[in-house]
Amino acid sequence: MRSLACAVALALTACGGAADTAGREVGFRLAAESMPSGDRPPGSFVTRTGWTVTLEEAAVAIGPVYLLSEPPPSARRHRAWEWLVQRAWAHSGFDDFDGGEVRGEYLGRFVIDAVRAGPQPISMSRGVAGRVRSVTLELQPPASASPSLHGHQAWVRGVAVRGEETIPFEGGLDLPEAGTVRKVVGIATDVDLDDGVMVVIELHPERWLSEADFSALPKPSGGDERRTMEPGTQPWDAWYLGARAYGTFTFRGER
Amino acid sequence: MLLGLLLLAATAIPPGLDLVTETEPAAPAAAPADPSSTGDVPTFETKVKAKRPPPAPVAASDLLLDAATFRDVPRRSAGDLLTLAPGVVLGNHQGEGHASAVYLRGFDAGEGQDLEFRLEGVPLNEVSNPHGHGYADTNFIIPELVESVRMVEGPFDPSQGDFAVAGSVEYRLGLVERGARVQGGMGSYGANELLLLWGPADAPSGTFVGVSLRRGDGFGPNRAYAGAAAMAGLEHRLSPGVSLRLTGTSYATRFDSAGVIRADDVDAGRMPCASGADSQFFCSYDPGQGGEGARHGFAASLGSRSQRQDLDQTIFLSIRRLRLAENFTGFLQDDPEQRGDAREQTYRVFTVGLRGSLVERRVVEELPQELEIGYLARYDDGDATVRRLRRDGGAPYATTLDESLRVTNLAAYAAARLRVAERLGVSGGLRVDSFFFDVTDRNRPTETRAGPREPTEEQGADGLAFEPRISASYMLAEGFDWIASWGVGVRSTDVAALSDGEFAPFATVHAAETGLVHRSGRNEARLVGFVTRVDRDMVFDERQARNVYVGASSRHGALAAGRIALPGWLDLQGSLTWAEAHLSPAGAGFFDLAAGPSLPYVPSWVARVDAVVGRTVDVAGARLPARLALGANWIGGRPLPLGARSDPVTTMDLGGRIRWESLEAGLSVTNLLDARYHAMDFHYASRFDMSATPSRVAAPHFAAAPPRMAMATLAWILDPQEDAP
Repeated sequence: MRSLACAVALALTACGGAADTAGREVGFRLAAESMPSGDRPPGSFVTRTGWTVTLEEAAVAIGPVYLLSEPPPSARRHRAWEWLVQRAWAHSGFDDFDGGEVRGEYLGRFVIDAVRAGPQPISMSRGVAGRVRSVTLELQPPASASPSLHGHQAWVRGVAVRGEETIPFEGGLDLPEAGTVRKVVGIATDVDLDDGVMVVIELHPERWLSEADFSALPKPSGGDERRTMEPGTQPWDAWYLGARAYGTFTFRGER
Repeated sequence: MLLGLLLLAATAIPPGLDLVTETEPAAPAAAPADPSSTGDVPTFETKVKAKRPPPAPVAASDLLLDAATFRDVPRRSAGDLLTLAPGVVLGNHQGEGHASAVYLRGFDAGEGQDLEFRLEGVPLNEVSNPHGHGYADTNFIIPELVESVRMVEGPFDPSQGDFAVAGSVEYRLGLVERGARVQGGMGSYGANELLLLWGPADAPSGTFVGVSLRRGDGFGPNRAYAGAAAMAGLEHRLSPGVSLRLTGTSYATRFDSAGVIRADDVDAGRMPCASGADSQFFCSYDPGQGGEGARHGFAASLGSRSQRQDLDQTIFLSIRRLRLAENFTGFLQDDPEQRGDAREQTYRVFTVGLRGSLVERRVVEELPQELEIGYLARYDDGDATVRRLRRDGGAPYATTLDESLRVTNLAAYAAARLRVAERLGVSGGLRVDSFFFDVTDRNRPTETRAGPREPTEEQGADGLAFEPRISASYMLAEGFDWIASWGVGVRSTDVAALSDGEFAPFATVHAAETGLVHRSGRNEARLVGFVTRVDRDMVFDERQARNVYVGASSRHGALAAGRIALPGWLDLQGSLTWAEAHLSPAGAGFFDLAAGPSLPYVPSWVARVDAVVGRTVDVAGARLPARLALGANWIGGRPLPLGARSDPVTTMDLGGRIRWESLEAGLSVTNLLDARYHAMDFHYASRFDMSATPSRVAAPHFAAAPPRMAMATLAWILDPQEDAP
């Protein structure tokens, strides 16, 4: 009788119940946050070139975002001997980075306000439970015009001070649609994706302009003192590189 | 109208020929002047000649499928005949000319990776086919010429060779209905068929000619197909007990494929077809999918039968060509160029081989004993390529595999079937398979850090596998046997996965089963439990459009099957199978049956019923023999990735035919209930809309199963041997 009951239970399980296959679908929240630099408010930082920058306006369009199961090669050197005897890569190690299984994704575009404190909710998304070891995101133009971007993919407006030199500046950044220029591939992280988890994209705006020398900005010809960051100027070129630098984005998970 | 006549049928017709009998040349039956004077059964003359019965089953799941008796249940291919076996589910994701994937006992046996296929002893699994190692296409076999199918579910017979992981299938050819048949058919979706069968009345069933021509538009976009097959056999008796059997086959096909589509696109009405539910369900993304195939082969067998000894020798050769184009992922992989992810797989191989066996019989202490030795020598010489195709125009833009392969498989086995006591029998033996691989990789890089190099590289490897198998049977009562079996089977290594000088690894399966079998004439029943463990299993990888290794797996389950034959009017068989398959975690033992996650897509529960009813029908004073057949299939919800489960599927097929003198009309309807269901399910990431941001999270995909389809046939039968269908 007990065997019969077991057989019936098995049959019911197999016919109508959930399967115990690998993986589990989960719902998670995605948010973004502009991270403060030290004890300064977001958007205020000191560059490696010695400028104290205070951003009055700063925003960037981001998306899509992919949460991946595999760590980038740079995050794999966790054993002592691998520090001593490193693996030889025939290429940069990132060109063919696949990332393994995509555990979650956000396919839209959103704009992060880089001078606003606290998490900025983006969406609720469905994904697959498990560890997220890396993230790949893209810096694509926003789907619709955003006033905070002034027609660009990223926008900054602020004041840089070094010694007695004060330079107000502003400018927009647009990345060409060529190759992987708009992609930031394989950002190392370690987040357990599960129901209710909030994955936070941490933007570090100080990385944008950490190599900028604002004194290289040409003075405006008119009476306006605010200088414009344009392609070809040193601060703009530094921003072009810094916008996609690996330290510019980090990720964390919280419940 | 025809169905109505069939349903109103009231009088019995003769039963089908017993598979262990042989129809001898017989004069065509003369129609009785007064049918009522001969009783209900129209008279005919069939001479049944004693023929050695098939060897005793080596396992409780050693099945002799009665293809001839159940031929009226609609089955469009020789592959479909496998559904006569308990628990077999077929699925096709690539079109009419593509081999069906076989699900059996918890195995997703692919298109042959885990199931050995043979035709008259000739191995059909294709070594290192880029679409799947072991791919076996049985579409070249004309199903009307299949006399019987032996299926062993599990590796329990020492004669089972490479790919016999889930089991093996052996087709035997023969034209039971002697004379000539010219048959034309028209069906749904522009289907047209022409079938010619011919077997001289004074020749044995192994002498025949069959030609089949088929074409159709398919049940949705991009599903057109055309195919032609010819098979000829000659069975010549050289002397009493000695016969020569020659078999030739020729086959070619061309087909389009709708491929696999995203379930969310269908649900949202985003497919590039009309907005109706059916239009969306049967739609396709990429019209460049499909393929061509050809197979031409010849085999000669010399058989000697005597009271104490059987000797068989077979030589075979074949030429095979296959091209498949399929696009599973759309525009996801070729980033950022986005030229398209379609893959073209080509395979060309020449196969030659020998197979033989010697059976010695003795009586010891009044108990029959048998010893058997056998061998197989097979050599495959061919080429395999995989190229990526542009979505626009289909031009190849990259080569991912280009190799020539030369593979030799030499195998030998020794087996014994011993009757230890009157009720106790033990059988088993040892099989040894050796493989020698010689590969020329033509797709190596031309530049290295050391400088330029040639794009070709030679690689060689070899492997040796030992496969013990043993069974014990105990006769509980007359007609009731308990049989327990254990065996080891192997799947050889795909040459694409080999390294130079490697001792080639095998995928090894350990299988055990036990069951009760009852036989009484043509009635039988069986109850079987089984356990298997595979050390290197494979599953389908949509990104590579082929099977890849996933590690160890285990399966267990049970089946109940039975057959009832009521002579003169009814043959009924049914089965219920339960199977569970798990991906074994590291360190799991043989009996850790349920450890690890379930393998997706493998049906847990399968039920199948086949029934054939024979009657004569009174039409305008004439008594016309007729047959009506029904096949019903129920597949329980399949486990899907992420803990999901598919909906159960119920399908019914109906067939029948009625004969008036030399004319025979037939009708077959498949999927009578017009169910909409998935022939195969998949779960992976894809991108078919280039304008949308690519989603890279795995999503459900499926290949649509055919809707209700009908085929009406009209046959002209020359020199009919029997009055009845």
